[in-house]
Amino acid sequence: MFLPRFELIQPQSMQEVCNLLQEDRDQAILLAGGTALVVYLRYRLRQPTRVIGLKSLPTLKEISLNGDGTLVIGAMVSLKTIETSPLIKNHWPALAEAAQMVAVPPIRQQATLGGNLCLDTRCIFYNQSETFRSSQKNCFKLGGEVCHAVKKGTRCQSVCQSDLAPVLMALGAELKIASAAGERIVPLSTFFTGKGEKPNILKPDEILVEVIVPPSPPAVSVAYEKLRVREGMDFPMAGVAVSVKKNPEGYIEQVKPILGAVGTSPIEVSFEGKLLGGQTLTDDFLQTLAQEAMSRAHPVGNLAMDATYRRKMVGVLLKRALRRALSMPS
Amino acid sequence: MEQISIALKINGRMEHLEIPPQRTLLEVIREDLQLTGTKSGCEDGTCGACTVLLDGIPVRSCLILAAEVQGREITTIEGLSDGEKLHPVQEAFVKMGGTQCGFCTPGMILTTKALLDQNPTPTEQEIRKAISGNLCRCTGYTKIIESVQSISGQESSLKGKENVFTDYSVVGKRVPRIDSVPKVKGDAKYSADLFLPGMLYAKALRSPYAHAKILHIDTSRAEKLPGVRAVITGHHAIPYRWGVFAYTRDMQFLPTDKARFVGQEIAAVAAIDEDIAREAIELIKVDWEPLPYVLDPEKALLEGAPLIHEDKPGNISVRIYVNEGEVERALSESFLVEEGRFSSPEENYCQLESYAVLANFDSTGLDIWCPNAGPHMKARPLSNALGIPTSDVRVRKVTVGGHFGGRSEISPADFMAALLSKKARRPVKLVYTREENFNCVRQVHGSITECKVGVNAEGQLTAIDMKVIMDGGAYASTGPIAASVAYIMIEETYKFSHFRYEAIRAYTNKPPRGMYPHHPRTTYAALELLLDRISEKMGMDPLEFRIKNAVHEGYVTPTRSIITSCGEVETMKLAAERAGWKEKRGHLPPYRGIGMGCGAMISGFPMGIRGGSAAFVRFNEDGDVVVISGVMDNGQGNDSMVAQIAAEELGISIDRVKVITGDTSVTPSDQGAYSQASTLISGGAVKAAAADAKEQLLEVAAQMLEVSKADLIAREGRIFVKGEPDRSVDISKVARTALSRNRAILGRGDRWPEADPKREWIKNPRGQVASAYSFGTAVAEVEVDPETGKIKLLNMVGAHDCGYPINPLAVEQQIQRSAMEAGPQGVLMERHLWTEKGQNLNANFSDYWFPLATDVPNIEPIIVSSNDPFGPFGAKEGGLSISVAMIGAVANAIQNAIGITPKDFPVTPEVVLKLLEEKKSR
Repeated sequence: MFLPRFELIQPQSMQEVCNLLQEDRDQAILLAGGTALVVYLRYRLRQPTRVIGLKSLPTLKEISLNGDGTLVIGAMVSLKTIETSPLIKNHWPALAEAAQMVAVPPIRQQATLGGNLCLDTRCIFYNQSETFRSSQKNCFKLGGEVCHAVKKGTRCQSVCQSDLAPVLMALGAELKIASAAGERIVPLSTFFTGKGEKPNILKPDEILVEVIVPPSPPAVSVAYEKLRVREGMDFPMAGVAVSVKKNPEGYIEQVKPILGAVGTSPIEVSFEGKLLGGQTLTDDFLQTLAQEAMSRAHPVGNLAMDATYRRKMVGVLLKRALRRALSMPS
Repeated sequence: MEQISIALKINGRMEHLEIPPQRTLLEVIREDLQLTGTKSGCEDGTCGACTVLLDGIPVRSCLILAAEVQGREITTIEGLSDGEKLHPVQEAFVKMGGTQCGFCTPGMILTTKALLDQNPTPTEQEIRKAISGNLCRCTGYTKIIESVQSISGQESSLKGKENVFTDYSVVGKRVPRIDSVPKVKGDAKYSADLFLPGMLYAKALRSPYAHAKILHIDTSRAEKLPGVRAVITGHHAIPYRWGVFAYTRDMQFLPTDKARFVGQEIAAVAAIDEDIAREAIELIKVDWEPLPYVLDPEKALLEGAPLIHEDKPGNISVRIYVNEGEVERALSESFLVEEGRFSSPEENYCQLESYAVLANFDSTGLDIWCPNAGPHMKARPLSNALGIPTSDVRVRKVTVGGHFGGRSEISPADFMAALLSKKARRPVKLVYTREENFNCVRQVHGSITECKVGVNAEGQLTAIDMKVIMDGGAYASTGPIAASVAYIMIEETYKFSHFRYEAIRAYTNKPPRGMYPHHPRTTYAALELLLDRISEKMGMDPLEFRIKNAVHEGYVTPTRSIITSCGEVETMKLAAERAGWKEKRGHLPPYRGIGMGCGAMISGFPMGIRGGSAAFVRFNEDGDVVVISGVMDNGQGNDSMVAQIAAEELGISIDRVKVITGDTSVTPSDQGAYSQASTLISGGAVKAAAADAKEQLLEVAAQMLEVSKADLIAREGRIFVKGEPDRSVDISKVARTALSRNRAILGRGDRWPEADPKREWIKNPRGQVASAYSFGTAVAEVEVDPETGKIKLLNMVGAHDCGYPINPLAVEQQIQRSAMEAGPQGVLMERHLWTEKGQNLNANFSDYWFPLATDVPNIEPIIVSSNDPFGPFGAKEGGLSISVAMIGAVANAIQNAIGITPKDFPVTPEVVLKLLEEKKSR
């Protein structure tokens, strides 16, 4: 099936991109790897008059290490590059692992880091062909006033199915966002709005240019676990990234789980109160954390797996991620 | 429309093109450059059929705009071989059987090439990961992996090489299939790959309602749109209802009364391009009166349910009832009775090729190219629906990207393209989207099965009582056969003296359901799970229990079929031995399980005047042979099968045989690739035709060698005097001599099933049902993750009694395909999800879980040969029994692993967790 008609512009510099975005604002759309957007175009979920292709911009494809150990990844770096980069594999292994769990190899070749973070929230009632959608009322995400997944729902609860967002949040990443007006840096944890209708804070004239990952603090490890049916291809039905800090005696000082794919944005779970005095990894302790995480998850019946099951799995994934993170050399 | 100029380097050549900016790389490659080796199999980047290499790296060409890759090196499958010389990867796929229907092959080969460029000796796991983005429906991935391993000179880590047969010189030999070279080169043409001058593009308008009255259709605005050449509705057609049987004629190709499922075609448009056709569809206005609808088969059968066909009270599409012996009494007198209720939603066929039709209707009649399982079976209904003689309908030969039962029938798409072409007086191409292929061709029945099985104190099965409700969707389709298959397979797998089976196929407001190898899956799962429960309670080894109850040659089934050749027990023993049954069953750690299942198939059932096949065998002046047969190849290798049979019969090598098949303009009638009849009937006809040609050849040779015809034998391309190895003449010389004596060597032959013609699916389910019976046993091993409920398949073994393998390579391919179709697909993953309004929620490969190479284990194929007296060279069919047997094997492996019976299929992680909780709460 053909794509809708649009004008394609392939700027050669960031300045040009920002100018284009500024002059066009609501009409233009950014095309990165295309693995998600081209499908959206084919299904007429987006019908832009102008598409700004980013593939010819050399600057966004770089990975660099700053003097202070900070990792800077260009938004157009492919997931394949993240998965195989020795630098990332050695110092931020959870990030490489999470990239490796996305889709299948040819998709990772094309898909980009920026694309994965800006991935539109998904819903089995929304990510459908035009034919399918034409036989039902427009939902909140399509500007309507109904939710097909949650009866009497009052807002869009489409799911943030990015695999990299939870991991990067656990790693404390920040984003550099650019526009004609200049640049701003925001913590990734504030990037998501929690609104299915408009999942992130990017303004129409803004572009995500870099992801900044701070150096891994001593004694902290991060691990990511993903729930999927097939060993490949599937978006996460739930995902848990955990950052854990141990003290020299082996007690857990800090646990920071980020839940993915069980809400409109990644969900950060805080355990501050429960961790007073440090803990060892007992089954009881794990169960307490799992219960807390499950209670914070907010899955609804809008993916191909049952919501109750997905909530339950948040607990399982959390335990697994935590065990794995603790077993890693920090 | 605005165009941009681009320059692309494809296969080493610069191509300068004017294209609209939104054109994808795939569209440029296929439409503008007509390099149709690159396939389009989905819309959402999930299938991998459109894979090309971009600077040597595999990418999805459907997800890339052509304008974005200017200046990069693009390699398509056409750029891989060096002229006639195949690339080593292509060679390996040919030799090792890595290609079947061939639709995934170009993408698979390019992915493999890129892998080997980077890693010349990948491990099996590395290969699986690398190809995990390329879906394959035909191979179970095993032979693809073996192909890759063979290139790197690695000993295959997979098994199944012991299948060696030496009785004949061509038959029984592991030869590359004759269809494989065009497939690995991307030369094989599928329906969507064809272009005719002046061709129009068609699109269908589909019902948004599950059930609604059509009050009025206004096509006037669509007709006025510039570029539109024809618009049709059911009002343009002559009155005609399609049905496989005279008593099941319930389907108007374009309904005029009401729509009965979401997605049903209501009108169609042909225009000069796809965009205009799409726009025109939006301009057609239908006045609907929505009606109450029913989606659940049990609810459809309740009193007061909305009636889907006014002349079918109770929404009963078909009822099959078989009651032999005294089931009630036998069950009450049984030593032990096990029972259960099992349910499953529908599966889909998942042919990698989406349905596509090219039709050209002119003053000489209709030429049509479309996926089909039997061209002659399409020609007849098309001629009826169009009101023209059957001989004016020419269903032409085309490569088909998979069938699996889902290409059995005429499709409304065929009719729409033909009628549009007739109206527009131009060729018309209609290509379905993946969503349309999921919803608008055929689906596989959902079902609910209640089953009771009894056994006596000695462990002999006594009685079975099975009740099945099948969700048939909105039309009858092949209903009477589909509702009968399960009991026929069961009664020929195990000996039951008392046998009762009732199947009610209910109409629902869902897409119609057709034929499938293991449908409905709950019947086989029910029986096999209960058998394991019985054997456990009796303290018997499930293997011994099955051997004790297996059928044998000469056994008469409850409905009076006499079993002919039968290797069932041998399949049980061999499958168990190779799977390590004795060492593993009962000795595995917690949450590991091993299970067994058995199955049978019928080959060649009575189909009246259309049940037979005929063939010609023609000698050319150079001594090469042309086989002309109506047989259809959907990817299973039927073309190659008839070539091999002809070569064996004629004593020549297979490379001297060319085939012309599956084309109603040329080939004589054939029953089609249904009822596993192709080898048995079509192959038998070709053997007879070859024998006839050989007789004629021997007559000439007898004159040349001055001996009696009876003293001659044809082998190795020559005709020898028996017992005198130095007195012989080359067959090509005999063919030429015949011509010089004014005689053309032209053999003819036909073959018909030997079954009881009085047997009828509904009215008279008694008598010989088929000409041959094949048998199989499967063993599977699983590991269950008790926390997530995820099941990992560790091993699958399938032993199949095929009678005699014409080509062991092809039989292994069929066993492996069947194993995947039943195990990962049938038991673990596949199902559709529906909205309350009857819309299919997962008509795409993103949410319909079709297994990847990383989800499927080794599949070991074992060939058992029982030499069937009716089949050509003793052959029956290629491996379909495993599609039944593996259902039971995987279901039982799960039961063995978790100690509780799975009742709902597919056994997804959610289902497993519920079962474990249920077990805990006991």
